Order: sequence, then C-alpha cells, then structure tokens
Amino acid sequence: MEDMYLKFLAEKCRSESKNNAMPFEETLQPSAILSESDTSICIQEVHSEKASDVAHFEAFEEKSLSLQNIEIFQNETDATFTHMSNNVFPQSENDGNSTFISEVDDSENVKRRNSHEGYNMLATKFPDKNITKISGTKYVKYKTSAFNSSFNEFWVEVVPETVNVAEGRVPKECMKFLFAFSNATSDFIDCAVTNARPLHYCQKCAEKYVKVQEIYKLIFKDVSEGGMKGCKELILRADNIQVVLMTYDFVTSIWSKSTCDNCFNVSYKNHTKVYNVTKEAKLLLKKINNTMDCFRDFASGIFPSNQTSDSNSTVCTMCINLYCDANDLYDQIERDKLLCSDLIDSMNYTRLDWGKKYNCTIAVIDKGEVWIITAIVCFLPIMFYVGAWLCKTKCLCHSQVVETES
Amino acid sequence: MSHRQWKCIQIQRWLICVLIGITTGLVAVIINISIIQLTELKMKIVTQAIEKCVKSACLYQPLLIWITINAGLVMIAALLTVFVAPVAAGSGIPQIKCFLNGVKVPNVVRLKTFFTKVVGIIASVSGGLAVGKEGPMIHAGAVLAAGISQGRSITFKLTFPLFEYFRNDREKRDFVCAGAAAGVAAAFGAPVGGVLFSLEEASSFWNQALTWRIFLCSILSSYSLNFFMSLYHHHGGDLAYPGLINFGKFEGTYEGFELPIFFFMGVIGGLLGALFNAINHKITIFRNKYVTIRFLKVVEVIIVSVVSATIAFMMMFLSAQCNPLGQDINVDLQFLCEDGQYNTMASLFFTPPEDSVKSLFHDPLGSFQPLTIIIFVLPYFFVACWTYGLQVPSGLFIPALLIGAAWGRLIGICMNAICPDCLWSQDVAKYALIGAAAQLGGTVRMTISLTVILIEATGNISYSLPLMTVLMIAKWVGDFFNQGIYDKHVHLAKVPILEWEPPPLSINIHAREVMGTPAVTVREVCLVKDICRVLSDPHNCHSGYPVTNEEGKFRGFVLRSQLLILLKHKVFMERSGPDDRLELAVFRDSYPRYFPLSIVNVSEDEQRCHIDIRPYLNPAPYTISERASLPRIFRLFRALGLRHLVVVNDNFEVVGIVTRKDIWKWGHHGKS
Repeated sequence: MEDMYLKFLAEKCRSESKNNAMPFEETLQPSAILSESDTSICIQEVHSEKASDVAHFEAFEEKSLSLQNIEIFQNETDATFTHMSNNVFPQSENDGNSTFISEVDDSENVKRRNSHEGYNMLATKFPDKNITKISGTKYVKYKTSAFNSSFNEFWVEVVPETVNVAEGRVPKECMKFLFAFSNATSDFIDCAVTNARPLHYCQKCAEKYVKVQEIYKLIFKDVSEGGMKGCKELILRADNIQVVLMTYDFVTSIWSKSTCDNCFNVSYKNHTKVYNVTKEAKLLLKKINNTMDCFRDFASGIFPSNQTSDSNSTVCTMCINLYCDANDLYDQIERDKLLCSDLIDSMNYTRLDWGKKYNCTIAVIDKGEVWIITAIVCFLPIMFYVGAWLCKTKCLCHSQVVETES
Repeated sequence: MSHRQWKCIQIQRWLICVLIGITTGLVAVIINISIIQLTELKMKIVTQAIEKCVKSACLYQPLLIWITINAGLVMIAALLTVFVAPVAAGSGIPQIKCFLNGVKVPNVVRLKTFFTKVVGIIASVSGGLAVGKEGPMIHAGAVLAAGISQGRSITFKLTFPLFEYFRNDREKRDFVCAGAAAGVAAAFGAPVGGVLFSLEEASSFWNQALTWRIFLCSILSSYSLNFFMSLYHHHGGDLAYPGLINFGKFEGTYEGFELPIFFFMGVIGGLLGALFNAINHKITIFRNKYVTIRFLKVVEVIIVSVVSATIAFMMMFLSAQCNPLGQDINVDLQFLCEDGQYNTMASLFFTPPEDSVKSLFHDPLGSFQPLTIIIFVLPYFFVACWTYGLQVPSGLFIPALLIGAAWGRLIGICMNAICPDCLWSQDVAKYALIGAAAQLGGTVRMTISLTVILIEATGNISYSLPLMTVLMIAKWVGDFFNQGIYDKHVHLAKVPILEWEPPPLSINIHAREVMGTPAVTVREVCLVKDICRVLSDPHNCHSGYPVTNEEGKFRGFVLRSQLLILLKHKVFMERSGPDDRLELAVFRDSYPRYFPLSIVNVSEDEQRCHIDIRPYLNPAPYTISERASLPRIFRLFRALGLRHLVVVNDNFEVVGIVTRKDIWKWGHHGKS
C-alpha cells in the first residue's frame, strides 16, 4: 500500500515537474519538486501573502506530512487534498492551495533554500527507484514584542487570521500553546541575560518565570479550549529533538541553579503562583545597597576625606557599621539556608570591595603565643623518644648490673 | 550425613554470605556517619573559636581547643587498642592476610577486636590523625564474617544451634575471605575489587564456587552501604546517586601521548612509596625496641595527634592562599583571608580525609596553588609515615592517596603551565588520580585488586590502562628497593607467612634438610601418662602429632586439641564400653578456643589407663617422602593451606615433620 502510493507520488512529482512549470503567483506559493541530479524531491510549502510582510515574519517550520497523511491522501486528487486539510482545520478557510509544482527561484519573497537546511523534513527512501521524498511546511508567526498577560488575547494578536496554520498536523488550539510558550520563554531568557551582570534576575524575572511555568503546566495538563486533547503529544513529543522540553529544562535549570526560590514567598492566588520577595532578602539588599552607596560616596570624594590623610581608612571607619550590619544579616540568612544567587552575588562583590579595594578587613594576628605553643609541641616528640631511649638503655644497663651482681 | 543435610549446608553457606554482606555494609554505614558527624562537630567548635579570635588576637585558643579535642579522641582509640585488643592496631590488612594464608593469628577475629577496631577507627580518624578508615573496615568485615559463620559468640556465652558444621578452620577461612571482600566493597564501593582482593591475598585456597558466593557477599555489602548512605544524603533509594562514588565521578579523558607522563609518575610513585616504607620501617624497629611499656605507647599516640593538629593549624596559619567562596562547597573557613574568601588549606583539614582526597581530585584548576600543595604534602608525608604503626587502628590507603593526589595535582599544574591552552592539560583530576594510584601502589604493592578498586571507586573504566600500567611500574620500582609496607610489618612481627612462589634456587633442597627431627609421636593405643607427658612438655607444644603403631609404622595424625578433649572426657579404654565414642559435635563445640592441659584433672589411677586414638585420628593425612624437594613441599603448603606435613621414609616410618615455620625459616634465614 504504502509503497504503491509513494511510487504514485513520485511519478506525479516527475510528470508535474516536466509539464507544470507554473509561474510564480503573488499569493500563496505552494510547494515544489526540485530535481537535484538523480534525486527527485517534493517539497510542499506554504508562503505568506505579501512580499513586504516577509521581513516582519519569522520563519517557523514544522514537520507536516507524515506517512499517515500520505496514506490518507492516497489516490486523491489535489482538490481532495485541499478538502481534506480544510476538514482537519476547519477554521483556516483560505489556505490549502497546495499543489505540487517545481520550485521557481526567481522571486524575492520565495527564497530558494537548500532543502537540507531550512526544513524539518520527513524523508523516505524509495528502495527501488532511489528517490527521496521530503515534505516540509513553512509556517509563519507574527513576532510580537509585547506580552499580554491574558492567554487568549495573546493568541489573537499573535496569529493573524490570514496566516496559514492549517498545514501540517498541529491544530490551531495546540499552536496557541506553542506560540505562548515560545514568547514566555524568550521573554524570560531576555530578562535573565540582561540582568545577568550585576546579577539580579531572581528579583527582576520572577514574573516571567511564573509565566513560563504556567504555560508549561497548561501544555502538560493537556487541556485546551473546547476540551480538546492531544496537544501535549503533538507539542512535547512530536519529534526527536523535543525543543520545547529542552527549552523548558533550560529555563528551570537557570532558576534552580541560582536557588532563586529561596528569596521568595510563594503563595497561590486563583491557582496561580505568586512570588513575593521575602522580608529578609529585601532587607539585606537594602543594607547592601546602603553599604555600596557609602563606599561609592567616599571613593568619589563626596564626603570630605581631609580629616585623615588616608582616604581608605575613612571608608573603613565610616562604613564599618553598615558593612558589618549587612554581613551579619547575610550570615544569618546563610545559616537559615535562604540565600539566592542575587544575594550571594551582591554580598560577594561588597565583600570584595571591602577587602580588596579598600583593604578594610581586620585580622589581628597574634603570632607570639601560637609560635610558643608550636615550639613546645615540636619539642614533645623529641623529648619523648629521647626519654624512651634513655630509659630503655638505662634499664638494660641496670638489669645487666643486677645480673652480674647475682 | 544424608543428602538432605548436605543440601541444607549448601543453603546455609549462601545464607551466611548474605548476612555477612548486609552486616558489613551496616557497620560501614555506622563508621562513615560517625566520622562525618564527629568531624563536623569538631570543626564547628574550632571554626567558631577561630572566627572569634581572628579579630581579638587570641588565635592560640582555637589551637589549644583543636589539640585538646584531637588528643582526647585519639586517646580513646589508643587506650582501647593498647589495653583491650593490641591486634587491632594498624590497618588489619596484614593480619587478615596472615590469617587467610593459614597462619593462626591470636585474637584476630575476636569480638573485642571488632569492637576496638570500629570504635578506634572512628576516634582516630575524627581525631585528625593521618589515617584512613579503609583497612580497619576490611578487618571489621572479616571479624563479622568469622563471628556470623560460627553462629555463636564465646565472649557473650551465646551459642545458637546454627551453622555448627562450619566450626573449623577451613570453613571459617572461606567465610573470612568473604568478609574481607565485603569490607573492601564497603570501604571503596568496589564489589569486584573486594572479590579480587580476597583472590589476591588468599588465592591459596581459592575455588570457583566460593568466588560466586563472595561476589554476592560484596555486592550486598556495597549496596546496603549505598542504600543507607543515600538516605543519609537525602537521596533516599537512589542507588546510582553519584555522590556515593567513593572518589567522585571522573569524567575526563586522556590522550595517548600522556601515557609517558603517567609512566613517569608511576616511577615517582614507586620511589616515594619505597621511601615511605623505608622510613616507616626504621620507625617501627625503633618503636619495637624502645617503646615497649604500654603506658608509653598511649603517650606516643597522643603526642602524634598533638603534633598533627599543630602542623595542620600552622599550615592554615601560614598558607597565604585565599580563594573566593564557593570553589569548594564543603569549606567556608575564612581564617586570615579577606571577607568573602576561604582558606584553601582548610579544605584539606576541615573535612573528613576522604573529602580532602575528593577536593584534591576534583576542585577546579586554580583552587590550589602549587605552593599550598607543597606546604601541605611535605609535612603530611612524614606525619603519615610516623603515624602508621602506632597503637591505634589506622588505614593506610587514604594517607597514601592524599599524598599521591597532592603531588599528582602538582604535576598536572606543571603540565598546564607548559601548555596553558591545550585541551588535554585543562583537567588536573586525571593527574591527581594517577599520582594517588602511583603513591598507593608504591606503598602497598598490591596489583590487580588495587587497580580494580581504583577503577570502581572512580566510576571510570576508561582509566584502566593508565591505572594498571602505573601500578605495575610503581610496584616494580618499589620492589627494586624494598618490600611493600604490609609485608614489612608481617616480617617485623615474625609471622611465618608463605609468599606466592617458593624461595628461589631451592630445587636441590630436600625434605630431609628442611624437616624438624626427631618428630614427637604417639602410639595408637597408649598410656594416659604418656599422652600427658607429651602434651605438657614445654619444648614440643606442637598442635599435632603423628601416630604410629607398635612397629613404628605411620598410621595417621592426631591434633593436640583432640587429645585434650579425649583426656577431658576421659575416654579411657578401661572405663568405657567398646562402642562408646565421642560425637564429632563435641570436638566442634570446643572450637576455636581450647583449654590448657592444666585444667584437665587426671588422677593417679587414670594415669595408668589406656586411650585408643584410632577412632579419632586422621588416617590419611598429607605425607611426603624424605626425598621431596623444597618447592614441592612449599606448593603443598601454599595450595592446601597445610600447617604440618609428616615426612616418612621408604619403610613408612616417621622420620620428621615439616611445619610452616620450617619453610618460612628456609626462605628467610635458610642460606645461613
């Protein structure tokens, strides 16, 4: 069955590539058969409508035809093919003009690509004729900069009605999830990287992290609007790369490696997590900021440092209370195991400034007594062994004397 | 014995092995957790004192606190060892080796030895001596095995009607083999290494069925340890938790051209190991000669612990290297460093010694400066030398690994300095590991078991080639200078242990020249008086006697213990009927502690009675012709675990008897 159909498709590809040198049309520009040396490749492709829009659209590829689809389309004409796709995705009315044509490579908005490079492809070798069939669908996704908190609003904005999402096997409901997840993660990563130095992403990006978690949870629960099931399978486990899972793991690993959760009180409101910065973290950050302000003020000479000749000593004496305050609080939070990387990093740099830059660390070394103890201790074994040796030889002498006497 | 009983005994063997495995694992858990907790507690106290005193000029206080705690802990170990069970001193591996070789080492598998060993090792490791817990764990496993397989404890006067069949030396030795394997498995997380350890040290009485049982035993031991340690580390039930790998997981790789560097390190390891052994040998001789009073032995241990603590403190005090907090997750002692930094030397002393080894292996490239390592390794080498052989339970593996890992890391840093941008020189862990292996191999001179132990403890099979070659080179280089440290201590104790091979150039030596003569014999039917005379003669306190008939022909062999039991139960021909025989169980029951002759009361009347030994003697003992060569005798002893061999002439008359000591003397002093 399958083989028969594939043969049929291949034949069709060939005949059409010969006969059907279809000119480029402005609107939907469907797929192609490229003849590359001895291999025929069929590519099914959906394009956007306007050339000017292409710049604002981001290519989004999705595996489309699987062998199951091929079986469905067996012995069908192009018309039924369109009909079928409309049946599967009834909402997208104006797509589906897919036909098999040879690729036309002379327009600016249909960029000819090497089929190995841009498409996520399904390839089946034809055992007898040495033909590879590849199908790939190109999706487009509107790039939004603003993230709307409401999931549905987001969807409306992201996918314009005109965009063809029906090709391939992922229904619109599932695509909603995918787009939402994509935006949430990219927002979070954007936030984390821009706040990486100085390290503040725990405080700044908590909201975005929660968003990623929520959308992932929605996907994972596998309930979309209208009670439709199966999105989880399609999104998370559809291919061998599993980009969504990888991305999710990456985001959570950033968060957990930085132990960010330690700095927040997590509460639930309407089944969503709400992150509130803990009292301690707020207080410590405030204290660290005060200390740093103190350092900066003295270093930049805002406060007159002419009371003493050495400006550093002024920093040390003036800021010591602030610094010790912050240091003590930090130690206490550390004991309670409530540190997150924001706090650790801020404190580390404060301490480095204190020690390295201003040389304020006090370490009173008392060499005298320590050295005396060491000397005594070093003397002990010598005394012991000499004593043992002396005792033994003396005892031996003594016993020898006793023996000779007796 | 019926077929069914035989089956039952086979099943009991397996059951005992299961029990040995699990209990050894449990004991290892107790030792591990106690050491971790005690060290943590001690270091917490010292750290608090240091933190207080760095700012108020009283650094002598933490030093004194540290010295006091260490001395106190170590004193417990020393007192126990000196006054309760002196055989528990040292690593225990030489003793177990002797036991498995067929030598009867007094007290080595007694319960009090076990107790001393376990408590002592916990105290001495957490007391900061330069010792490890591995050797004592092996000893502890062996004692457990000996105890469990006998189904009773003589100390507590507890006798269960279980496992009676195994109450003899041969069976016990098999189980001790299993126990030692379980001990290795628990100490290093190396079940296969454990089996091979038993094979290497006890290969004389090896058989294949035993191998499989021992493997079960060591697997159980290692995994029961892992199970409980995973609970302790809050990864309950996760048996593959990487924190359970003994030396941490090694993931790096190596290039072919690095092998010559590794070989060179093997040579260094052999040289340093030989130096270690030589120094330790001299110290031990001095100790045996001059430090003989028990009280002085305890004092010596305390002095060593005080010096160790002071050296450690001074190293941290003088070490100038500070690193930003977080490079070593275990340690955050600031000491004299700036705020936000920790003293790198503290990561070697403020943790249990195993964690120090892990730090040297796995901490990133910049975390130890070369100077810090040199300051650390030089004093530590001599302190470790000085410590081994003290009257406390003390393992040798961890000190050797620490020394080796330190200089190995130093070589790694040199390599990195030579080629700072090369990919292969970024990973110092492999150099530290190879250095550790070379040092250990050069010191203890074990071969296959050590290789496999290291492979398993690092969780990386791809290092097997460098590890094996390095250990081989280290052994060869070391053997060029002196013996391995365990053999040295066995010899210093004058134990008649038999090597793998017969003494060289002994093919022309015959039994006539080796044997002890004349042999003390008893008659098949003889007077009680004669037996008493033979047994009480202080010059022949042998453990067995050849039995002859009236014509002087050799009829069999009877053990001293058997004669004693016969006397005690008064199995005299005149007093009992012809069918009254002692049961085999009676002989088994008094194993392994026999009473002296003095408690047997034999009246004047009884002296004139006769004893018929024929029902009890061994009618077919191993014998050898007086013309047999020494290598042949040696192989009989080595392969069968014999203790004595009767030499007969052509007329089947007893001409002499060869004992273990006769052969041993020939091997070591025979040429004179």
